[in-house]
Amino acid sequence: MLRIEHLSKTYENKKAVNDLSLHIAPKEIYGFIGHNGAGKTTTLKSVVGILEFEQGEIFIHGHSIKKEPLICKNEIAYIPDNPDLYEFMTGMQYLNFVADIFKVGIEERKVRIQKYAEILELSAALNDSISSYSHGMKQKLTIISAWIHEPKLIIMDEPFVGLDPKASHLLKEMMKEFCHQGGAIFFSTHVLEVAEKLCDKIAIIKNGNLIVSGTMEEVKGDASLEEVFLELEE
Amino acid sequence: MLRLLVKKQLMEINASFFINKKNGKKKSKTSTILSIVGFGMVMIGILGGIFTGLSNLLCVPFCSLGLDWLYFVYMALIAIVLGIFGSVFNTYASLYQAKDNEMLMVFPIPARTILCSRLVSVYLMGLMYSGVVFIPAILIHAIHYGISLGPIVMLVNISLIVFVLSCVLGYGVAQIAAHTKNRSAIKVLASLGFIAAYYYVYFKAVNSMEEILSNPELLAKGVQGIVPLIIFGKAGTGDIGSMCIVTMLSMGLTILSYLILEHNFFTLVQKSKIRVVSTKKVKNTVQKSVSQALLTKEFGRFTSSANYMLNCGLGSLVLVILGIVFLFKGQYAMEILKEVFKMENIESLAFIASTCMAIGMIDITAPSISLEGKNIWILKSLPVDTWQVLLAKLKVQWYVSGIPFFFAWICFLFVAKLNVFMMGMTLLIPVAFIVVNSCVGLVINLIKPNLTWVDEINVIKQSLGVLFTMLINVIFILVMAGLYFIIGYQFSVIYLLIWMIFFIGLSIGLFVWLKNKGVRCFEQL
Repeated sequence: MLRIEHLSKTYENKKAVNDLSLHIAPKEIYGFIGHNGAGKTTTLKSVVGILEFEQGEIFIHGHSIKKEPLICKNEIAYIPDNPDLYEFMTGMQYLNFVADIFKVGIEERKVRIQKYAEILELSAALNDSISSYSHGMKQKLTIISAWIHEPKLIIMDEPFVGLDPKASHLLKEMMKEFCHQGGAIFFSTHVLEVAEKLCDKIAIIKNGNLIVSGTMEEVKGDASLEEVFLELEE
Repeated sequence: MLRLLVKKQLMEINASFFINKKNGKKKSKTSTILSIVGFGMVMIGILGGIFTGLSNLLCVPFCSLGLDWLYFVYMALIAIVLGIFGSVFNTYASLYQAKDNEMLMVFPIPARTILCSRLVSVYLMGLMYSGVVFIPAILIHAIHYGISLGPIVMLVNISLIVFVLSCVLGYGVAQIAAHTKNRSAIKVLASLGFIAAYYYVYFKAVNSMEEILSNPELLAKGVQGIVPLIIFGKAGTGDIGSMCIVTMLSMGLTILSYLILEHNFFTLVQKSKIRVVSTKKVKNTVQKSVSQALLTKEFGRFTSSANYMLNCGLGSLVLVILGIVFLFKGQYAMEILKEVFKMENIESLAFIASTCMAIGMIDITAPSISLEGKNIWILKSLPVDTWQVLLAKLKVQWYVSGIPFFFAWICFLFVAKLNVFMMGMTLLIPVAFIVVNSCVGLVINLIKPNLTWVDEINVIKQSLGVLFTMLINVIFILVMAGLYFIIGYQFSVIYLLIWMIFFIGLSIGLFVWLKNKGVRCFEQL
């Protein structure tokens, strides 16, 4: 589903990501962890085509994000770490905007918006201006917009930040359901307990370099993920 | 504390000149020098030059007749007009809607200190624009009649008057916005109402001055209506009594304005943050194409911001007014033009120049990339062709300029008896100019974007891109009209044809640039 090959990205003279390679298969929830400034967001933004990179390749469903960005973007959805949305729109207008871009039919979008808005308890606020939303509500709206076109791959940057415990739980359920239906998720998080319980595979990045990756068992063995992470960070 | 906040305000302005927004580093020396030279060219070279010329034209004739005061009143009124235009629309945004208001209020800073720091930039903006008019007036007067204190005091008073008027509008808009639902529309209407009222007073004053010039005995009779103007003008001549009255009045009004603003600054900041909930009714959803969706989004952005509409779309209203003026006064104006200039097709040139000037006031594309701000990730992560994104931004400007222009053109055709060729020219040149104008704004903004603004007014009004776009437009129109009077009138048909070909060629060139390099620029943001 997602193949990252020898990805390198440099900001001025600082190497943000160095020769990173990962492979995420369908039905996998892949966690991406690392300290602040390790290169997680840079990697995720490169995957979704927001950031250009100088070396390496990223393939989504066999298509290069560099050479065929539109085909790739049609297959994916992105949830950023900070949900900066168009504040001049209402929640519903934003969802319709995204649905129009992805050419989702009226009936399909109605069903999906209703379904996910009900799950995330945002139905009542959808006709309000986004400028009146709290951080968590914006995050929920971004999540609904990510699910609206039924992508094959969802990229999430710190998706649980700002969500209340119930919404976090619901999102985890949505993620599991999505992967159960054949989708793949690649997400970054600082919440190691969540990663440990949710992820099929995990990658740890430090100063732009991939330290370890593999299934949860391969990475942590008998120890807790926190112990392994702290040990690797030292 | 105040110094610290003012420093922060100035740092933001400074950053627009000296910091590269893409990487947060200092600009190269060349780039910095170019920015300063460009800004200097607009403010001192073009605007300063125009008003130096005007001062030179008026100073000696007025002063030699003993009407020094009238010279100062005349220049002061123009200075106030420009000062108002420069600062009036951004007062509300600067005071009540700055993104960092909330952050600053968390700190142990008194609300009045935050207010004062904001007012400093409002004052400086008004001073800069009014100074561009009045400093040349002072200099020309000093060259002919020596340096005196009066004109300098008058400049201070003018800047205070501009400041008071800006505060009055800012406060009025904040009050209205705090109690209404459709805030953008109300803000636009309130601002336009204020401007209309202001221009009414301005034209009344100008009429009074014209009356004085044509009937000097009015002065001797001391007609009551002109007494305030005389006192105001005499303050510029150094008359101690007038200076004291005007200074006391302007200072008094300034203090009063400050006290009113301070009284409920905190409350109004809070109210401007509280958003109206459930304002929009759910309509039947219609599936849109990608280009329609992008266009709707761009129109939504434009109409959601009173600042954006007022600063970048006011020309559309001017076009409508021009159309009405053509309809009712066009015949009379054309007769005068033909009588005075005795040039072939002068009425067509006048129509083209005036509509192009109004079209040049519409610069929606000039801040449109910067306005994406932190939302830029949305367009970049969605499967849309970047060219479609840029095209949607261009189209908004085409509609906002094109529809009122078409109205003005139809009105003009009613009164002007043109042959088919001239009908075509009067349509095609401004239409091609609409395309050029929109492309120039977008090109400059793609080259010099600012995605990290704190207050949207920084990119809508105070950015170099907007200034350069307006400068380029003014140059085009001045060159087109100037060359016509020098040489073009001798072969007016061919002359206008050349301009049409030039604008069409330029718009094609800019289109090609946008489709290739422009798309790359956007993708690299």
